[in-house]
Amino acid sequence: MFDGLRDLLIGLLGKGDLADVLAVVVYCALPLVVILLYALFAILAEMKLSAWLQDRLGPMRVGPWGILQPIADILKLLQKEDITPTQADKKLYNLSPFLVFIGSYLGFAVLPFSAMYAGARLNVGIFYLVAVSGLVVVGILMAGWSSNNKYSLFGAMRSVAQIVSYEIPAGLAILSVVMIAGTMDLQTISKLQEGGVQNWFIFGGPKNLAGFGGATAWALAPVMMIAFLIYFIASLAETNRVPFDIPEAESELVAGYHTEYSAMKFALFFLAEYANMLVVSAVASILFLGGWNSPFGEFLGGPVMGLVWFLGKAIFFVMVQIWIRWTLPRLRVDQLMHICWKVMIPFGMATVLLVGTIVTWFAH
Amino acid sequence: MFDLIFYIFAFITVVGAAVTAIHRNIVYAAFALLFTFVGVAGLYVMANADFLAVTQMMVYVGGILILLIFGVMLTNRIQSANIVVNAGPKPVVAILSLGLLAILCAAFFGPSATHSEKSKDGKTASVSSWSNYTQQPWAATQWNKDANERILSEKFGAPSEVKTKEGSSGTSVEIGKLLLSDYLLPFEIVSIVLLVALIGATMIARKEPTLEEEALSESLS
Amino acid sequence: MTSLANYLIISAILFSIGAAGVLFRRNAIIIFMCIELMLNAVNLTLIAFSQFLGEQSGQVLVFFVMTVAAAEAAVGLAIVIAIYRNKETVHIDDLNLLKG
Repeated sequence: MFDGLRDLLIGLLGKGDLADVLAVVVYCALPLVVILLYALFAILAEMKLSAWLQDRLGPMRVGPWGILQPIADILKLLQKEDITPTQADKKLYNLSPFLVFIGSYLGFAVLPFSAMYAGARLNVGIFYLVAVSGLVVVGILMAGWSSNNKYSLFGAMRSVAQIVSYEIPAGLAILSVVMIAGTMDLQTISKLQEGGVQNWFIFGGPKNLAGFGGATAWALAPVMMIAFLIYFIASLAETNRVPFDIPEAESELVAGYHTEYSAMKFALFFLAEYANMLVVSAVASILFLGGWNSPFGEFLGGPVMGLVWFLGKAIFFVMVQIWIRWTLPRLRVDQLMHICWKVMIPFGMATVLLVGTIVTWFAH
Repeated sequence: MFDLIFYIFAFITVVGAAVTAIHRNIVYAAFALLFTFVGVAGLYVMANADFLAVTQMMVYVGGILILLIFGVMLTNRIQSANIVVNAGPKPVVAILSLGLLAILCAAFFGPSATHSEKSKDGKTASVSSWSNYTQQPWAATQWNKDANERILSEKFGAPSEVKTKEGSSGTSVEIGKLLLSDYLLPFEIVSIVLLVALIGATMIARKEPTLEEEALSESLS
Repeated sequence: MTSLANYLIISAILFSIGAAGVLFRRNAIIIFMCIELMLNAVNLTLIAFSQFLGEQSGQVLVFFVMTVAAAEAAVGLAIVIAIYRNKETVHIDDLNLLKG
């Protein structure tokens, strides 16, 4: 796909550095288009789903059934005044929203949107994706600190403690997939799950690999389901979603680390948060549910349908996150840490151990 | 193009390091360290060490840096966003560190480096002049093979056909094999070191509970 | 073209900056940061040589250095926090109990 784009630009601009650079820029900006469109959709979905769950109608005024409400919201955010508190640390205060957004956008670089498009095919793909979230954490700390506001600082510290803790069970769950796949490259992991729903890693992975027969893969299925659950719960915590939204608990902390932010900087945090939700949902669908693969094997397959399947699966999980948000109450901090360190990490380690044992014993 | 990226990373690294060492505000020093770590990770990528670049991001940015920032926040009274400590370049320190730099450069590129390195390392012994050799571009790097075309098509571009299992594996496979064969003992020892450090750090940093708190926790349990 | 020399120069500069920081800063945490800088400089050299010689062992060594650095940061910061709890300062000139 990149070559096609490059040829097109060379045709338009003539051969030269300009066309090459422009091709790279356009190619790298494609996920941004996806994020923006998805954010519009997700904002609306959040409002509408919450309304329906509470037996309300939700926004109805802007456009038919209120479907233009997110656009109105964005226009409102754009014309708000950009406030910097006088006692804030100006440089860090202005830098942190960008850092947070860059951190979550970096993750999109390795996501295989379809068989044709993956920004960069790193052979350390999933590891890279886990690692760049560190940048988000630093950005959040920076925002909380530089706002010079106790609610921001508490929110940031809670958020960082939570993200850092829940990276461990998420990493363990990812590790069990990587052990079966034998690669960290997300495009290869997607490719391995071709050929229908039974080959997805949640059902034990591909059934037709050499030296790794169907029975072994089926034996892995229950373990992988637990791994999937662990990953999904940890991903809720990593994106600060309910029931793990202690960093943003509005009844105690106003809004957490972005309390002081307004206008476009707030919009960037908001966008980064939604982008993060999409990344973790996409990773869940790539690692466990086949990524861009159609559940029916060849039927409804192909690169274009692949994009549809991929985004469909990812957005399905975003919807589940929204559903959970409006259903469950918030945890206390001690419950949060208890679940992470005393429940999910032991289960995660057991998963890794079981998968490792099964893979090494039966692989040969 | 590739040189430019290299120099950008080098610039980020050095400036970040300088700010860390000089800036009067501890928080700025800590956040400047972020740029150094990211810059060093970039330099690792330029040297084909992709696995270690990502590990660098994970361990340094996602772990050590956050620990350091927490340390800054916990060891200062958080009254204002500005935590200023005394610091100002002292001439003696400047001279010492410049001297160190000179010694390091002399060791790397000086005339004596030719002999000492020759005697230690068999691979460089065949080279006539060590300092000339270091100026050459990487010998076996894949980056230099028709740099633009290859990188554009393989690093930034989508592959035309997706390989399974035996696709290019970078350095991670190699490092994994080395860790579980030649370096198995150090690997196990390092894991024990980490465990001991984890327990030790928790023990040292935790607050000694007062008698009242102990009584309270006992009555609760 | 990037060569071994470029890497060595950068790591030498990084190491010198780290050493200068350790010498002239008086805050224990900043000294920690500067030690991390020096470790990074050494890692950079190892990676450059590993690439130069086409051998992966250097990278394995960097891996170990990172692990030890992580352990060191955790324990060191725990000690700094314990000191702060006792003396209300992390200024190393004030930590002179052993001077008698």
